[in-house]
Amino acid sequence: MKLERLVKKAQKGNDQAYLMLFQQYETDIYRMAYVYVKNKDDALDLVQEVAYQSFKTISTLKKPEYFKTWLMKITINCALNLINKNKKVIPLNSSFEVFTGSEDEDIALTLSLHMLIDTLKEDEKSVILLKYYDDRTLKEISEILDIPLGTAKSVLYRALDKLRQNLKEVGSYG
Amino acid sequence: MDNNLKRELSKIEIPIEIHERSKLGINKAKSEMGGKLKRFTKKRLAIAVMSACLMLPTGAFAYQALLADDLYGSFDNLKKHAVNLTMEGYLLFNAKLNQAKGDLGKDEFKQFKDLLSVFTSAKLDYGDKNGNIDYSQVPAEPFEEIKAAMYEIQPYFDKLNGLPSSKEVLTAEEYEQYIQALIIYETTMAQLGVSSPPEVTEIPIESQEAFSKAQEYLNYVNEKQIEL
Repeated sequence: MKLERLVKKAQKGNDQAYLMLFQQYETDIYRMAYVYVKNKDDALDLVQEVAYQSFKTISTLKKPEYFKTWLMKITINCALNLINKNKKVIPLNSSFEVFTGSEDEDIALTLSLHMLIDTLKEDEKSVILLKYYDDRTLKEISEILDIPLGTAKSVLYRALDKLRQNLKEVGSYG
Repeated sequence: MDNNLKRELSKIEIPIEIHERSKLGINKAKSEMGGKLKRFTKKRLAIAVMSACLMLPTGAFAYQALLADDLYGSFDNLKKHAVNLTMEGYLLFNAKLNQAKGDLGKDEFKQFKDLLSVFTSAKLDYGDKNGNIDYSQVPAEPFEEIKAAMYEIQPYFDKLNGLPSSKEVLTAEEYEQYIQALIIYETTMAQLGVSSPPEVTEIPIESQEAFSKAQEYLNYVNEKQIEL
């Protein structure tokens, strides 16, 4: 069924339609969330939270064609909220279950995801994810994140610099 | 970087419980939106339910139009019997009939049609210009026959309206009461000579209470059906 029809149905309160719609994006949401929160449990919590918040407020979505954009925005906001909340809690250790046992994989590639997750700050993650994972233009990014276009640009370049820097370091070890 | 990111992110494994979590979130939202949702569904269902209930009371539209071609031959012929019948109603209920063909199995549909024909002939014999029957004027024997058909056919109407069968939702006793309520409803309308449900104030005082009770009961059944 077409996206717009599903959105309209969902806006009328049809949860089955919304579930159908939401499930098309849940893996994207999960992966984006993972980059921020770095673990499976929190990322899953975020998926649930995004599902909850988005269905609750879907009637406010004016243009169905912006559904995905809107969903990404909610995802990022939820992730940032969770991180802020967790900052007050000191973690015993951070776990990277996903990456364990992947020794045979290209180490540079694996590291770059690690890097992305570990070295970038939240705002940098948002810009990088939207730009390269979600294929957004800088203008769209500035709209989604509610930041000026110039800021989006400088955050992007700063993030890319950091990643390049890290890549070099990795290279020098090899 | 840009080419890699998607590949990189795709390495993040998706846990199997993700669907479950999406569902949980949506269900939670839904349960909290309860009031709002219910109102909406109620409103929509009220229309569907009205057409189900009123298919009995305003039967001229319903049965006669539905089976127009099979039973009466043509719209014009049909119109002689029910002056209030419009072309729109005719087409609408023909559509209903087609839907019935799709929704019901072959045998079910045949039974449905047979039951309908009991009504249509009753409407012709006893119905007023709106197709409503004043059951208090119907002789005992045909009355029992019509009532028996009513018992059988209501679940089909429920099905066509996308509702759970009232016969299954209700206990035998409640179902009996439900059919009684439908009969009172239609009788009242026939006595008043109206084609749509009247306001209580339009009804003679001695019938008001029975009518209100019937109306209440129909609402109760509708609520029950919606909740499932």
